[in-house]
Amino acid sequence: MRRETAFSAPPAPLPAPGKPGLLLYAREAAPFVITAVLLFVVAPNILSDFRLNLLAKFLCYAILAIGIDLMWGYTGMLSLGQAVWFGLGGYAMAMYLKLHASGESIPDFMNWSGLESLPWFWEPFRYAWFAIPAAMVLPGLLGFVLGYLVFRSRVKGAYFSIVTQALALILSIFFVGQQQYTGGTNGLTNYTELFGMNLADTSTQHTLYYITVGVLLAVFLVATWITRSPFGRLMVAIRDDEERVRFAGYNVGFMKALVFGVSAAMAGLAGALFVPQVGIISPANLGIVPSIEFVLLVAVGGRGTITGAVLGAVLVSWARSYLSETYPDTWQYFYGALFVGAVVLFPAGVVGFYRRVAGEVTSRVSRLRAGAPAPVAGMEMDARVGNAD
Amino acid sequence: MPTDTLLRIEDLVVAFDGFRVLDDLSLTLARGELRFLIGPNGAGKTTLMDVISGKIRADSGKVMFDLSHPEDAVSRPTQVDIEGEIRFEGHELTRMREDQIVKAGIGRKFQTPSVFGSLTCFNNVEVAAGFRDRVLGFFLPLGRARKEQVMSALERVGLEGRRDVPASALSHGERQWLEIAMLLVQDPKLLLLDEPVAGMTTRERERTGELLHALEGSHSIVVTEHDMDFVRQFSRTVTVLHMGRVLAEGRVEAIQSDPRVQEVYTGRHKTPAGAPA
Ligand SMILES: Nc1ncnc2c1ncn2[C@@H]1O[C@H](COP(=O)(O)OP(=O)(O)OP(=O)(O)O)[C@@H](O)[C@H]1O
Ligand SMILES: [Mg+2]
Repeated sequence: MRRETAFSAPPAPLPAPGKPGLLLYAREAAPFVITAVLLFVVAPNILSDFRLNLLAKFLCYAILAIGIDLMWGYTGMLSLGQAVWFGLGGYAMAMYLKLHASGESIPDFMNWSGLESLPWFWEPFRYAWFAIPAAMVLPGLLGFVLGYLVFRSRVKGAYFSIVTQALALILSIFFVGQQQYTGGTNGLTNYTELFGMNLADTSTQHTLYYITVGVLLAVFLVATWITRSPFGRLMVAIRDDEERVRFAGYNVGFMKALVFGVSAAMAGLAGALFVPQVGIISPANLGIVPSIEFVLLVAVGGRGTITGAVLGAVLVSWARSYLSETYPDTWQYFYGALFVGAVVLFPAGVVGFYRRVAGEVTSRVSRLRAGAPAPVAGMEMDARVGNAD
Repeated sequence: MPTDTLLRIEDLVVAFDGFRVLDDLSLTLARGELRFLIGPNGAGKTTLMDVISGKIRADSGKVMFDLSHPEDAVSRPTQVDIEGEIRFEGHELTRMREDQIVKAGIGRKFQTPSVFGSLTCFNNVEVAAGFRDRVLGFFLPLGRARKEQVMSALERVGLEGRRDVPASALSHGERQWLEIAMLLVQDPKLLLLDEPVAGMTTRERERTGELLHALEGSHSIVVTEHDMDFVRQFSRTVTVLHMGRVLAEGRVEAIQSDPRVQEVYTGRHKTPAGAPA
């Protein structure tokens, strides 16, 4: 019963434990290579500067979606507060950019709120060598520690989701309230440059696009590596039966916290890349609504596959901006309908749907071929490889 | 005959909401011993394994209700009390966490076989095999020694031909074996097997019984079982549990001719058809 709904146990995502063969490697590497070519070569050549900048933003979401997938698709923990880590990473970057833009004086909003000097915790964000790693490390560490405390007291399932959601709510309220330190509802904006590059220049935006693609591909590889390693099996085991893992001698709380930390670090990294390309971060980016939208990216793409997370993030974000441009007044209805439709019709996401169809087709084809009078040896081979999927 | 004691349980009381499920239970198990634990339904056999393996803790009734497993709410008592001691090689088990107990050398097979459905047999055993690894080791590919270790555990239960089959596709009996393989690969000092032959064919039962005999001596084993044929065929010492107490202990022949044991079992097994309940 529980298996069939979109939000409970996801479909088995496991890599075929295949015999290594050149063809198999080619198949496995295909999504990565295609993504790389599309993003590095095709997109910059066919998209306008405006669209390319939008795509960069979507790719930031894709980085975050991979992190959500590790947690939810592989380990079975549904966080409804990933925007918290995205926001923290974003703010870390924004603080650096803001201080840089303000030169010798303190940021403008601090002036307006009557602060005379820079608060101590802003101080280290003057330095890129601190701010940029911090955008990843701070969310990662916080996620790990918070996760450890929560999982140690055996909070799981829907309770865990509620805790993370509460966190998103609290943090967004807190950031609004602490106007003198955070810029309040307006957030942090009006940056000028990054590493001497003017952020308003298209060439800078191009560079940032390529950096984003590079980071996405790196995160893609890291996530693939994690899920293919013995740790990946442990994650799936925890998803299947957490209690059994405990009685196999594992400190499950620690392992889950580790995944949570990695996932939070990825979200932070995404936030840090997002800010210079979008030009603003505000409490609206770290509340409940974006958190839920982030989860839906993965739900639509397909849990339990890294490709699904990336695909979902790009497709959904693209649909969102297409709908909002085309139907400026009513787009939210379409957007909502899209989610409901996707989750109801394709509970295993786009990738899950593709796999089902592909599996169906290959098995039909191979049945046809098996029935054919004199099958060519080469074709037989083909069919068998197809079936291995 | 091994004589030194591996597990010593003294005056153990486990009470759910004030009701004593285990009642002043004492039991010792020698190193290398194979012990059968029998008793009617509700005698407390599973509960005994639960306290030994750490599944039941004095405060475990207070665990937060988990919405994603509403069925737990029905079976979970609100108040759990534990008295007495369980000594295992210098450890006091009643104060240890589940995974620490496993690392101390106690492996457990659950009454309803629990394996990881979406992992293959190989990966199931692989996960169990890594229980002492350092965290960083989990991010490196499996070494050859580990692969061989996993395969030999699968061979011991006869599942080597099913290595790449997802556990969800296994028969009930095969799942039992897979779970046993997951214990074997950890080489525990003590195995707790809760009804390991349930759902097995006669042939499979025999294989399992033979496996138990092969393991005794190098491992201590506690097995619960309802099927008296199996008990007669493979048991050494049998402990009869009834209402949370040890009712009798000894060879199976002596146990079966013990009038107290007969009385306990009479109502259940030997009621002639049609007799008033
Ligand atoms: N969570 C619980 N809350 C309250 N009572 C419980 C709980 N779990 C078990 N019991 C009670 O404890 C007693 C012992 O149960 P236990 O499962 O240990 O028996 P068992 O000997 O393993 O029986 P079986 O042969 O049916 O497996 C039973 O009376 C049962 O109703
Ligand atoms: Mg039982």
